[in-house]
Amino acid sequence: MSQKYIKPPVEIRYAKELEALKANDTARKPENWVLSPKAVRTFILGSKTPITYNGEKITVNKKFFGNDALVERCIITLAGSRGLMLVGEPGTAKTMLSELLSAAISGTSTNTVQGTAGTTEDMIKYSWNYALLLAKGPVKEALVPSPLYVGMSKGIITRFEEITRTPAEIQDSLISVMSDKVLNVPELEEDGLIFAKPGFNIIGTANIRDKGVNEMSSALKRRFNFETVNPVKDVRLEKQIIINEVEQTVLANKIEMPVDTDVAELLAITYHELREGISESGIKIDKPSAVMSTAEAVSVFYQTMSNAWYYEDDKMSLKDLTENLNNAVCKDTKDDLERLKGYFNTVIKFKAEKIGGIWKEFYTARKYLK
Amino acid sequence: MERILHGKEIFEIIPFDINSSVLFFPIRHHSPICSYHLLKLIDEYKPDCILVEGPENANRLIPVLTDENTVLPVAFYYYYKDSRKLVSEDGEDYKCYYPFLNASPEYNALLKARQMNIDCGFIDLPYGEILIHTAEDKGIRKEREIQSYNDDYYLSENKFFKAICEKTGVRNFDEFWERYFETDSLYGTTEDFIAKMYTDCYLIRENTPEEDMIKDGCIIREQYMAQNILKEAETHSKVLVVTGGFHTPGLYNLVNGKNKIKKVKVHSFGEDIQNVYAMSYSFEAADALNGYASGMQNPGFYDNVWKGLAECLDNHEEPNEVYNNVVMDTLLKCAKKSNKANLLITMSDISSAVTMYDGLALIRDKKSPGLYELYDCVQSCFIKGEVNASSDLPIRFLSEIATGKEIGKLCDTAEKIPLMKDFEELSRKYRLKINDIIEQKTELDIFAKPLHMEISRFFYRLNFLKTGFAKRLKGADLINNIDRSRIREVWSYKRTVKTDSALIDYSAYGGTIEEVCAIVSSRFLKDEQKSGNAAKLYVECFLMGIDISENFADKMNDIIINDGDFFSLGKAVYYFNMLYSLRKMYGVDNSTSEYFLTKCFQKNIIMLPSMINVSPEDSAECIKICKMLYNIVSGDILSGEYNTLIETFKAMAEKENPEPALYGGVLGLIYGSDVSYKLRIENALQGYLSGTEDMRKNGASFLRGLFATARDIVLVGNEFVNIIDKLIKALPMDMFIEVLPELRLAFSYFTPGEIDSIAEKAAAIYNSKKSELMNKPQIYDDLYAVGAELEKIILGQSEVGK
Repeated sequence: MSQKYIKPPVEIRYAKELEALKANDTARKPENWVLSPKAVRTFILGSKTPITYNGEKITVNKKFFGNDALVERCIITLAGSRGLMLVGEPGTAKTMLSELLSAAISGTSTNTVQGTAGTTEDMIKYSWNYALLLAKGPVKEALVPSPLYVGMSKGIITRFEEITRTPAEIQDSLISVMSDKVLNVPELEEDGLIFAKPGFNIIGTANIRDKGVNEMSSALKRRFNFETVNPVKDVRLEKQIIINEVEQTVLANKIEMPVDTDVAELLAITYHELREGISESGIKIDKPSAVMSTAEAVSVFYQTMSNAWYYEDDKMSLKDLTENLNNAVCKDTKDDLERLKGYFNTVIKFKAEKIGGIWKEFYTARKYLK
Repeated sequence: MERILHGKEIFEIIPFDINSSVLFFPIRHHSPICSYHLLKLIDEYKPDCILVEGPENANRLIPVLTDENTVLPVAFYYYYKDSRKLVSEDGEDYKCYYPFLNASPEYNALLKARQMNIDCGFIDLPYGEILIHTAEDKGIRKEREIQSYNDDYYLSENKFFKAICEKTGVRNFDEFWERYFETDSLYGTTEDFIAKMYTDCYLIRENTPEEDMIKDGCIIREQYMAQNILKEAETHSKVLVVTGGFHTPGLYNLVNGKNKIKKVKVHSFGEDIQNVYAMSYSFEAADALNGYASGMQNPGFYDNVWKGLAECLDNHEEPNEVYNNVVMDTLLKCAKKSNKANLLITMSDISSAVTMYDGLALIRDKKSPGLYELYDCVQSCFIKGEVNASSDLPIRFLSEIATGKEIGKLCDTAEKIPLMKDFEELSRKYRLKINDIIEQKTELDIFAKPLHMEISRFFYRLNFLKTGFAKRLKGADLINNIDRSRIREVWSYKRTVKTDSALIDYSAYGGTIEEVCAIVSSRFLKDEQKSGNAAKLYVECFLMGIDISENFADKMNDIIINDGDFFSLGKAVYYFNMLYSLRKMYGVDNSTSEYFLTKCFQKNIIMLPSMINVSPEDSAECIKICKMLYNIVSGDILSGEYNTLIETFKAMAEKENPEPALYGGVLGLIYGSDVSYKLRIENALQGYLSGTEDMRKNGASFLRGLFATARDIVLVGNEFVNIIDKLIKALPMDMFIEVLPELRLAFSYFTPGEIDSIAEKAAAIYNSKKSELMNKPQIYDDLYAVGAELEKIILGQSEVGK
């Protein structure tokens, strides 16, 4: 993998897998799709059977865990005429899924609009290079195409991140584009109609916690199929996600130490229990108000690991892990600290007594909760 | 996986020979594809005997099940009463269902046998015998919401299948089954299907430890079934054996001499111990999602699939379009229902959903879309936004449609148990709609119309038998002493599977509902030792219109004599007093109630003085009983006992270390008969005031008890308010906070008007007015901020000063 990026885009990160799948893809595919729907499924959900490509056996690993049917529905939605809207709690891998889908379907995951409160209509549709506009007037050369414009003209997926952060009236500018598949640039007169090519579609993402900030209009909602991405319910899978993600990140950042799978399991269980509000042994837990997503767990794990790499002679310390957990959980309200302390004093204490080992060490580190 | 499923080599292990004298057809219960290939096989094999897995003591019900006037779903309801303690030392009663749907292969096998006029029958051990040979918490003795005879858990709960589901990325065993069997096998031959089933069942069997099969009773059942198969094979040339696929390898080995058959002896039980009845059933009850452990989810959907398949068989057509048609039809029904609920499902949504289920079938390598694609497309295309409890209505509608609403009906010749007959006849007499799937409502004017009183008693009787048939929505609740003055009752009712099964359960007790209720009541009374519970039963019998008073007077007398529980006797006093007071209203003679009331009352009074040291947790209940006894003697029934009760209270008040709340309550009751006791009460409160910290804390409890029985003491004069003021002022802050809930509880006995008057008196102590106390001027935010700032400065200075 190239080391030019902190986080390489999906199509670069998994370039070999994509090439191998493309070369072996014999199934029917919608026009302008790089891979067939079945191959897109294999790219995201993995396959136990390796693919031979250029004499090399390439294993396609599973990249999205927890709900295979959801991925299948997303692929079929994108092959149809409606857009795909991924909604869910923050940190549930909505963005990752939309990147994977875009890279597999269109070969690129970077044709993206980042929705913010400051997003304007010209950021969604098109704007002008004013120097050229003044010099040559409203000609195509002076037009600065938006990701939506690019998606339509090339027949590729346009990703719209955090769509509900964008004001409702700006969101609504998508309605006509999604209905008629035409973008009108009045300034270009007869050349001003941009017809979407086959393969164009939109993947939007929206956090449930942002709901109410900018609710989508029902007219726009009707143009999308909605998929709710829930946190991973299976601790085993959550541990696997943490390990996979951290492995990729440490590789990119040249941290040459192995991922401690025991700590990954401990963290996966901790996040799972705090999120669900109940321990494995049935003890009720006061849930923190902070987001307890797998993405947060990955971040806590990576911070602890890089600390170990740079300062602690390659050994992950549970003191650091506890401090990082403390920082990740206790952000919004002081009550979360009390909840976290309560969790340590009941559930972790119980595990320390029953299981001992790493849990005992974790329980001892509770003094760093501040 | 594909290799395993399509492996032909399985026929080397379990041969499949269309000319053999015994042929095994493996099934999954309620599976349309099994029925489809079974009927095809019967046409080809032409058996002269069909044997089906099922307890053999239900053989007499086969004509009822296959009668052309019987409408499915129906179920066989088995019961076994372990009075001989052969199953366990607990001697419990056991029951289970064996449901039959149109798609059930067992039903289709028996129906076909009837049409072909050949022999057929069930071959498994009788229900009681299976229980006797099953270990605790295993097989048929496993705790389940709805007990069923069938043993699908061998398939759905098998580790081997769990691993396959994970590997193939399906959500559960049912999705796996639909994908690889129901839809896939529609396009292959019957032989291919049987090969697939044999392979599947063989692998599951290989992955199930022998020990588990022994504990489940599986091995002994197979011994018995094999015994029966061989017996029939002696007199028939072609025997077709239809059993759950899991048993096929075991039965094959036994019948073909590969394993030895041990003769199984069965007990001889009378009908009072073990029996089976046919009863109407519903799709709702047969749905695996509703706790029925051995069936397919959403049976209504598969019933429609079966109807399509049966039509194809009749017309010799290929079944290629059956699933497409049923999926489309169900989707349209769901859209219609959603639109009726104003969810606005457009044509575009429907068209998108159709694209979705077709696309999903393609990507999943399914030859037709099925139930799971249907759920997927409704979730994706009909729900606009996050899926949660408030937005998932379309999914719930789909689930209702796919489950099905139909209720079965038995043919007229079906044997009906007398109790069920009585229930149906009475329902007819009372014009109750018992065959409607929608819950009905009825309003009863019980005092004006004798028929309404009868209906009310009918409902109470059915509730007493735990049939879940009726629910009282409005009306007097005599048991809990709520709304006793209501003269009308509103009831809702609905006949469910539970209603029928409860009536069958009680069928051994008698032929009419009234008779059964009387017997069940008397049995209850026979074992009861607490007078409170026994008296409650008297109230229930009163509501049911069943007179048990004469026959059980001696028993009730004994219970009262032997009951040493003050609270139980208190409960009995309450119930008998109520029955006595209702005698005029209901127009009944309740002389026995008066007798028992007097007995319980007298016993209560004798025990009363010893209760003064009751624990604080029980004090509230004790005060309640004291108050009730006081109210009773203040009326006409036991007025002669008034002085005795007051003297008892006075004796209690003289005891040492009284429980403070009860002490307060008792003093309050004495004050009701003798106002001169006010001084005594004031002194007692002063005593709490001047005592230790703990004593002061107890003052709040004392007040709670006092206010529970004599709250007017505060309202007469100002002295009492002054004393309370002193009590509160004497409490340190932390203790005040501690007793605050108790004080709040004490003052909750007052009405808002009385609280107002107390507030006025409290205000007067501090030279204030009620209005000033209740309506303080508003403090504006900026003023508050200035005050806070000043406080900070002053506190800061004092810190510096230190």
